[in-house]
Order: sequence, then C-alpha cells, then structure tokens
Amino acid sequence: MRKEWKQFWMQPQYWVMFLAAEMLFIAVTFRLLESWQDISGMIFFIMAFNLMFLMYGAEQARLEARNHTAELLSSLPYGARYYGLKFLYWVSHSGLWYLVFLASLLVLLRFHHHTELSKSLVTIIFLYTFSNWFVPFLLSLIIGYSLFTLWPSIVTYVVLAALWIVLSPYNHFVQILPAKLLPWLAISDTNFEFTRYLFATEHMIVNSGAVWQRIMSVLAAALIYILAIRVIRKIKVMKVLAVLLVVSIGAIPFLFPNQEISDISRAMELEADPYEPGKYVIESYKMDIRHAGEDHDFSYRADVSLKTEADQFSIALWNVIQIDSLRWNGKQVAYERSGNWVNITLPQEESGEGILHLETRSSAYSDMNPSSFELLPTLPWYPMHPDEAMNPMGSAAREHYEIKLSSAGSDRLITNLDPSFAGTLSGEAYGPMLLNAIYEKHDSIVHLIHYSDETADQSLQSVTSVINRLNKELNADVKIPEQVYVVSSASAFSANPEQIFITPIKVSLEDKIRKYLFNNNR
Amino acid sequence: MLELTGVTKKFGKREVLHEINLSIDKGIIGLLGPNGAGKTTFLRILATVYEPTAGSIRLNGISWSKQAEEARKRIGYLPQHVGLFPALTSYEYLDYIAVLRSISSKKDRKQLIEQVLREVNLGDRAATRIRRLSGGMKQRLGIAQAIIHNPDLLLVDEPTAGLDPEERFRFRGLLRRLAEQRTVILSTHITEDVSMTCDRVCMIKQGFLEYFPSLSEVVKLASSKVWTMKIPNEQFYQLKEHKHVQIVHSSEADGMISLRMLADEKPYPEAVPAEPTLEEGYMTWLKA
Repeated sequence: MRKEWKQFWMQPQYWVMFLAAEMLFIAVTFRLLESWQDISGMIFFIMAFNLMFLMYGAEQARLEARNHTAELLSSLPYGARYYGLKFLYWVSHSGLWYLVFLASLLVLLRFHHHTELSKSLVTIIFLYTFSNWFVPFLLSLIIGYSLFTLWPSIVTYVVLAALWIVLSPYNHFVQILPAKLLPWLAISDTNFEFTRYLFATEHMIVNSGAVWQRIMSVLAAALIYILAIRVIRKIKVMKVLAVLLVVSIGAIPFLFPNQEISDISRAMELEADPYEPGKYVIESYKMDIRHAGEDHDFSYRADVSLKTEADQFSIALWNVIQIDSLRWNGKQVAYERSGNWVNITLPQEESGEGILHLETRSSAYSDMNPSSFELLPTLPWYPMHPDEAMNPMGSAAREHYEIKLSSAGSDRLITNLDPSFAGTLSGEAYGPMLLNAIYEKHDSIVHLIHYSDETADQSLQSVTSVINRLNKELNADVKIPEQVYVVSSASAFSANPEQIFITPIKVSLEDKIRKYLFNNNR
Repeated sequence: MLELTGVTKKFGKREVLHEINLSIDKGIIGLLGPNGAGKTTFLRILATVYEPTAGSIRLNGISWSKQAEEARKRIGYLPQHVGLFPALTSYEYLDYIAVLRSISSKKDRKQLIEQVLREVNLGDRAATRIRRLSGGMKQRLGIAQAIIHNPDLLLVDEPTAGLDPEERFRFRGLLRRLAEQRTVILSTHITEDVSMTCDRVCMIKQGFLEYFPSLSEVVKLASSKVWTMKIPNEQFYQLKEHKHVQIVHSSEADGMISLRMLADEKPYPEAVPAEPTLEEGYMTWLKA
C-alpha cells in the first residue's frame, strides 16, 4: 500500500487535482456554511468529488492497462494480493481526503461559527458524512477502476459519467429511472430536502434504509471488483462469494427498509367530535407498539380497559391511523369514522366494564419517521378519551400504561413511563410520552439536537410571554408545566399538566396556546 | 522437464492453439512464428495467465491445473509488455514483485534484489525510477523480476523488440547465461534472436506447433531450395512477378543486382545453389 501511495505522490497531475479540490472545498465551506445543518446542502459539491474519484479510479485502470500490469500479476503466485492491497489503498486514499474534509468542517464549525460540538453532534456529523461522503468516494474509485478494467476504452469515460448521474441524487430530482429504484441507486442523501424542512428529527440522521442501501452498494462494488479482476475471479472462494453477493444484493431491497422518506401532510388538527361522546372512563392501556423503521410506518395493538354506561361512545384517533381490528371483550364491534373520531357501537347489553382491543397501522403519521418518532401524550395517535383529546390540560386524567415498544434506537428513548426489566414501559401518566430522537437536556428544557439552546430558549420565552398576556387578558392563572420539550411535532404546540411541547416555528402560537392551555378559541 | 500433452486453446469457437504435445529439458528453446501465430497465447498458457481449453502441462511433476500456485512459484515470466510501475525505483519495483512472490523476509528480499540487479547488469540503477530507464534497461529489469525467485522455467516474450543492436546483443548473452540453470523459452518472430541464442526451436503457425531438436533441422528444410544469381537492374523487375520464386534478399552493386531466392526448382538458368540459413528454413516451413 505504501508503494501505491508513493506512486500517487509521484504523479503530480493527480495529487494537484485532489489538493486543489480540497482547498476549494475549504474555501466554499468557509463562505457558505452557516451551521452544521447546512452540511447536507453540500451534496452537489460532494457529487463533483464523486466524479473526480470515479475518473481517478478509471485513470488507475488506464495506467495499469498501459503498463500491462494485469498480465504480469496473473503469473505471480500471490498476484491477487496486489488487488487486495490496491483495495486497502483506495480505502486509505478516499479515507484521507474524507478525513481532511471532515476535519476542516469541524474546525470551521468550532472556531468560525463557534458551534458547541457535543458528542452527539459530532456523531451525527461523522455518521452522515461517512455515509454520504466517504462511502460514495470509495465506491466511485472502485467502480471507475473496475469498469475501465473490464472495458478499457474512451467510451468507458462516457459510461462512467452516465453512471455518475444514475448514482447521484441528481437522478433523484430528474427521475431518469423508475422512482422505486431511486432510493436503492443513489449513494448519497436522497432526503435532504424533506428532512431539512419537514422532518427535522431525520435531518442528517442515517436511517436503517440508508445503512442497508450503503451495504448493498458496497457489496455491489465488491462484486464488480471481483468480476473485473481476472486473478480474483479465478479464485474458487471468490466464485462462491460472487454468487453469494449476487443473492444478497438482490435480496436486500426486498428484505430491508428503503432510505427514502415520503412527503406527507403535517397539518393535523383535532376538530370537534361529531358524535355523542358517551359516558365512559378509561382506566388503563396495554399497548404493543411496533416502529417499522421505514418511512412513516408504524403499528400497534392496544387493549384499553374502560368502564362505560353507554352502548355507543367515541374515541379520538388521528384519521391517518388505520384500524385493522376493533373488538370489545373479544367480539368484533361496529364502528364508524368521521375525521379524527371513531364512534363505537357495542353489542346490546354489553356495556359495563370491558377491554376495547384495537389493531392499527399507519404510514402517514408525520411524527413517526424512519429512525425517530415523537409520540406526544397530548395527541390522539393512541385512542384518547374525547374530553382529554380536546383539552389535555383542563380535562387531564391519569391512566395506567403498560407499553411494549419494538424500535431501533429505543435506548435513547425519552419517556414519562418507567422502563422495567422485561422491556416494558409502565406507570401512571396523563398519556404516554415516547420521544425517540436525539435530544439535549438543559435543566427543565429538553430540545431536539437540531435546535440550538438559543432557539429553544427563544421558543419558551415567546410562549411564556403569550401565556402571561393571556393570563391577564382572560383573568386566568395558567402556569407553564414544569417540563418543557422543544420538539418538531406537527402539532406545533400542546401541553398537559406535566409537560409542554413546543415546536419552534416562525408563526404565532397564540391560537394553539389559547386552545391547549386556556381552552379558549378565538 | 516441461511436458505438454494435448494442449489446446479456444477463444469462443476459434481454436488458436491446436493440440500441442511437447517435452523439453533444461536449456534455451526458441519459439518462432509470425505475428498472430499463437506465440503469446502459448506463453500465457505456460505462464498460467490463461488456462488451456484442453490438455495438461507439468513441470517436474507439478500440474498446472491442480497446483497452479506451486507452478507459478517455479515460473518466471517476462511478458511482451512488461508490467512496470513507472513511478517506483528499480529496487522498489523488485521489492514489490518479491512480496507478491511471497518472499516475506525483508533481509532475503534485499539480498535477492541486489544479486539479481547485478546479474542483469543494473546494479548501479537500483535507485533510478523506472520511467528514467532506457528500453533495454526496462527489459533487463523485466528479466530481473522474472528470475528473482530462481525459477525452473523462464518464459520470455519478444524481449528484443525495440532494442538497439547493442542492447539486443547484451540481452541475448543474458538469456544464454540464464539458460544454463533452467528451461528458457524465448518467443520471437526474429530468426536472428533464435540463431544467436537457441539450440532448439519450436515453430508455430496458425496455432500449430512443431518442435525441432536442433536448428540445423530447420535449416535443412531449405536445402536445395536456396539460389543466388546476379542480374542487371532491368531484368530484376520482370523477375519480381514470378509466382514460384521468393526473393529473400537483394543488393545492388555496379548496376547489377545480387539476388538470394527460395524456389523448389532452379528458377533461372543463371541461378546457382546456395547454403540455406535458419531464416530460409523457417520461411520454407511457413510456406509448406
């Protein structure tokens, strides 16, 4: 590998190109970068680097073809080692340039923008750039080299340029190929537009789909490499490996989530209950929630223990949550939906105490994302009593919860329930709070890492000032709940007696505050 | 002892080597044939770059098909275009090749490299970058990489092409020295390379190979078919059209042209028989 590096440094046409690109990168970053969240916006710049790596890979193959290296290596007992060392050289080569990029970026953020680089933040930046910069750099090198080795012609450069478009997010925008293929082809961030502006909890977070896509691309590159190099493809183990690789590459898109996040509506507002609410009390919930880790998909089963005097009653439930089964004490019951409400009709003389069993699923709840979710206790993502759903502050009621949660990354879960040894969350609460994203905690304020301390403080201050004003105006004495969460939930604002949830948005939250805290609509 | 039995090579449906059977011992053997005859394919098969479509190859009992890695350890190969790394020095290049030949000890590598560089007369060029070496030096460096592990079989593909006469002479001497300890197969289309270097020769045309245990047997092929004569200039142009006569050499002096011709029978009354050369034997074989 040392000799490969030596060769590289002895060829000024290449290292000058890389060095110039590096300097350009630093200059552009210095000029355009305003915060760490802008890193994803450098995607087109990175695309240009990918092209450079692709062409450098092809150039390596061209030089080898010119020097007839492959023929000599084929006659050496350990000629295959050369290609192994070459692979390591590429890892180190793309790694070096990537690390210089990353280091310049971190230095710039720390010393020019005075960003507090916490461990979580550095981890996000590292994982994002590793997945969207380093991996594409390395793959471009391998693909460029392999294709030129297979087809040493000037035409290959044209093919490589076409391939570059197919593998880049550019393809995602112009949609040259069928949309279903895109998330599997693009070796870069396909979601940066949505996640930056809509689904903040996912912004620059590498979701499982992206991880599988990168694994698939690395396997595909390894396969192309094996097939391109005669010395390697002649090795029996490699023949078996190539078959396994083909099978794995084919299977991944069918077995694992894709990386793409859909653009879905975030505007959800609970309207007045069109049904007769019925008189009933919810005592406890037993839930089994499954977070699919793909797009906005999730599902749950809920056993709601309740006492009812009426044969008919309604529950609040977001209309994007589809009911697959609804039973009362094990028997199927008739129900009707209107907007975000469900009206349930029990079989005759079946009222009293019982268990309402729901099986649901959804792929359009915008607080539920591939690698994160914000399930707030104040919103009817779970079957809520109409009074509590309409006024989670004024009509708050504590129920007992027992929740089993299957989700990746649940170790970072922020909840108002107690985790038990059996992996169940339990306890009494005004509703279950399940926050699974990256948050930072400062005293009584917990804020999503994508918002700065300053933004979180400002959001709280503006809410406080509206509350103070409304207290005076309406002669009320509403106090801000002790625990403040600055989240990205589409609800923008909601609260119960214990928690307040604020989404920093540039429009006034007054109407929401009136509704949630003062039960007052303008 | 290198033994080939029924070696055949096909690329798709095209058969480029036809059932080669050969058994050769230590020493240098020429592989003579026109361009496109299959020389390089034959050498590549021996060098394990290609696999034969059929047949078997064994060197001192080691089978190409079953023990390819062992076979490679005993082969030295100088391809037609030697695979070099222009930015490395001669020493670094040989060191790299030695690593790929699994000579793991750095001390051993150093010793072998110094020895082999002396052997190919490049001892003073160890620190010179390959791109600064002359064509002849590069070829000698190519030989150095092929013999660094002291192989039993050395395969050399058209090594003198592009070399000046002095380098060519030096290179032939080197090959002769190397053949004292091993089997050397020298592939070329230049008969002079063979006549100056080899004692035996294989001739190949259109994929068919024929072995001649001595050069004189090739020469014999042209016996009583070589003729010389001197004619005036104007008569020469009429002769050139003659179908059954192949002019192998002509020179002009004092308005007369001296000709050397290949023909099965006396082509002209003035023609006199002459002693054939290897080249004429080769050309006769090619025409046959």
